[in-house]
Amino acid sequence: MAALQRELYGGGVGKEGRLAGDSEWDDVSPIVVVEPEKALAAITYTQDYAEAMSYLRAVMQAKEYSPRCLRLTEHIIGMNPAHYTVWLYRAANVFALKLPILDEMAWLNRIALGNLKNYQIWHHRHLLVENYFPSIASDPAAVSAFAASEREFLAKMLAEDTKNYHVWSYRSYLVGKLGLFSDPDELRAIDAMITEDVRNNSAWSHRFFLVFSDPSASTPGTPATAADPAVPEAVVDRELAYAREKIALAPQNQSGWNYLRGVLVKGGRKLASVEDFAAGFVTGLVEGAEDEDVRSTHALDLLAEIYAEKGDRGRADLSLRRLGQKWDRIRVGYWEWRRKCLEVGA
Amino acid sequence: MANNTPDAAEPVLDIARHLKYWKMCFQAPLPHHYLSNEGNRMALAYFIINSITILTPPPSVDNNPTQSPPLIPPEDRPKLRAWVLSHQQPGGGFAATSSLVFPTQPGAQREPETGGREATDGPGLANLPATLFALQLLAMLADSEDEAGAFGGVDRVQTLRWLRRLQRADGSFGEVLRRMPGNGWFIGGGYDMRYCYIAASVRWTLRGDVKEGEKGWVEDIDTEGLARYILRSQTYDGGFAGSSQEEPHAGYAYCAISALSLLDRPLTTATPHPQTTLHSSIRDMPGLLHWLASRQFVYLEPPPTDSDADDYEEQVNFLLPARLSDLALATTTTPGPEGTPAPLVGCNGRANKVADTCYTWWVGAALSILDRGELLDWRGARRFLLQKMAHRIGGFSKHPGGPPDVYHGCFGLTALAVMGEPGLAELDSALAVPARTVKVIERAREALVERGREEGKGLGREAVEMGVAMRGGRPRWLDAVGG
Repeated sequence: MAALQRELYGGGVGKEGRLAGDSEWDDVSPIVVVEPEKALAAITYTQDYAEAMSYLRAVMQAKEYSPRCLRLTEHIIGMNPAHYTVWLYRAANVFALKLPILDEMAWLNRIALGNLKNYQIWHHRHLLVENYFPSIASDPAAVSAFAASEREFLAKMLAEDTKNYHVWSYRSYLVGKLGLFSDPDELRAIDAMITEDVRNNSAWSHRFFLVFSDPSASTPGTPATAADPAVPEAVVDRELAYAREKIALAPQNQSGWNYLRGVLVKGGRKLASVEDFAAGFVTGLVEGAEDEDVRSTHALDLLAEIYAEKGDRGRADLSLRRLGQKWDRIRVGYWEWRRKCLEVGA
Repeated sequence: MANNTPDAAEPVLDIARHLKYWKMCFQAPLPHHYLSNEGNRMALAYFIINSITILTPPPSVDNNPTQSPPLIPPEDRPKLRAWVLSHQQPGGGFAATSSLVFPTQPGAQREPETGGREATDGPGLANLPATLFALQLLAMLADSEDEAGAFGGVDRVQTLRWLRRLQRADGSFGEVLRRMPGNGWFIGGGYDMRYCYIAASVRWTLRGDVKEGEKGWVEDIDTEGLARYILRSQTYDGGFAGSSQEEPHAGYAYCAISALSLLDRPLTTATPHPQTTLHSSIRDMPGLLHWLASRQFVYLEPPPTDSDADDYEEQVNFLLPARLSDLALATTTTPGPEGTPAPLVGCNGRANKVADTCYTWWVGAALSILDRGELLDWRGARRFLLQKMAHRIGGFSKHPGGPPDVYHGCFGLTALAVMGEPGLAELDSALAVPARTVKVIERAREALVERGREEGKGLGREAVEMGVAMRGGRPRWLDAVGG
């Protein structure tokens, strides 16, 4: 078994990394890249890389799928983990040789931790899961075990890089694929991340997806920016309370305010239902006085919308004016545009 | 756009210095740390040639009286175009890197007119972004006396057919098409708004006005499906994500907005474009503008530490002053009171993330397409790019104090160009190339479509095969089309 593993994983290629002169590769004629006289964006690379790529070209053209090809891709990925074609060819080998998907996943886990910013590892993983999942789909215990092991792996990756877009994309894919919307462990894991860093907008976005795209408590296909009557009132209340609690910890954090507003819209609630809460971050806003205090520009922004919703154009305009004049001057162009919208909307 | 000639207090774009940087990238191989981009070499080529094109507007239309010889010698243009064309694949589209261009095999079959699929089963390695970059490179590298011939050798029909096959049932696009042993055809590349944008751009670049029944007609992509996919990706906070279940991202927002704008864009810039699709279809436009405007923030100098630029990403979000009212010191029109420096305005790609050169471009260009340029503090943004991101050897870095690279070097320039920076070429925000390159594309497309109408598929195929066979030499088809 160990010998078989080495034939596939970690066994290396060539003699001291060189393929020429290794009898295993004697039958392959490498296809060397010849640069023409004029070309753009050539990259200085090592002899080892050039040699490995010339062998890769040969086996790809011959459509060879074999253990040595799998090891060749590992060798090249070790030098350049971002080459998507090498990854696709590796996947083709995995499928052609009918290798156990979980072996490939275990190998991938080792590669992934050393290549946090790399997109290809996630694309490869996605492809593997697409092929693995049908084999466990009808066995809830197997799905649950797989979800737990993936979550453990994701936790390790996110501990290194909490806002990595690829990791979060894969996580949302996994939630949909494995049906983890109602899995309390998933919501707990995300809550822990928001508790750790209340400004982690990736975690906030995932929470919104988790809560409001749950097929058992939402209308499939409803846009994120639309009200959905299928979402239970209790869920809306719970999420509003959650957002308020987190905003209190960091009033100038746009993630919490965006979430609050998003939940109100999703729940079909009036923005004015949080007027008192928002007004708690703004004191002394009076026409002509100009000595108000603002603890959150996002609160004042939302108040402007609330006043407009209630038809109080004067206070809406005052809020927007003060944002542009004092509290958020770099966005004065935006606040002035909002003021114009008030006139048009009236 | 908010084009104001900067006053004396504002920093200056050192065009000569940037050209020096790009000359180096153009003439010498890129250093080893670009290896991770080896698989996307066509993109690197686009960054280099696009930047040089932006930095060298024709003297007649601008105050740039450089008498020095052009950075790209006219006699090299046909050779560089031949290099680009050598990446074209028999089944349509272009390969992303020379290391995946295989020597022509005798008897290689092209995809027949009606549906055969074998041609792409082998090393048919066409890639969607590379295809757009290749087409734009051909336009930027056109001979000045024969701009209409820029697409000579491009297999328009095959490329449009291949493009259709990259579209998934949900309307989105992948970047490559591969046959996976035992798994059939696979559209690779993830669910990514970039491919949706690039598909819309390739379609606009090549499709033209050929009517059904005419020679050269290819069935269109599912434009409604594509638009639906894009519109579904708007998130609860108004931004756009890679798909509807992810975090919004400024790069993806740009791609979504540009793609929608390209779907009903007239064939030539001369025809007015009311942007009907864009303005009528986005579900929450006020939310989108709010989200885009929220990407800018006042950049505050981090306290000195011994950390290097690599740690920048790990810094806690962006800095806030102790009291919000301290931000009031930052005024956008003049330096602040008592010598307080005028604010530097950076843009991030997502809420609570750090500033990065390219997001000034993605945000600025998105607002420009929406005709809401006034929502961004251009002066502050310009100041930030020139004072914090421009490097002393030329080019722009990703983060303050970092080394320049071709990606950020290019998008720093496009950001300035979309602001109307004097001395730079006028830029087309949706296509991310100079407006004059767009005119070349329009002429080249028209010539390509006309040739197809007259001659059917013959010339295109012949030209490709010659171009591939001649790799590096002067392809004979250039003589045939008068190049």
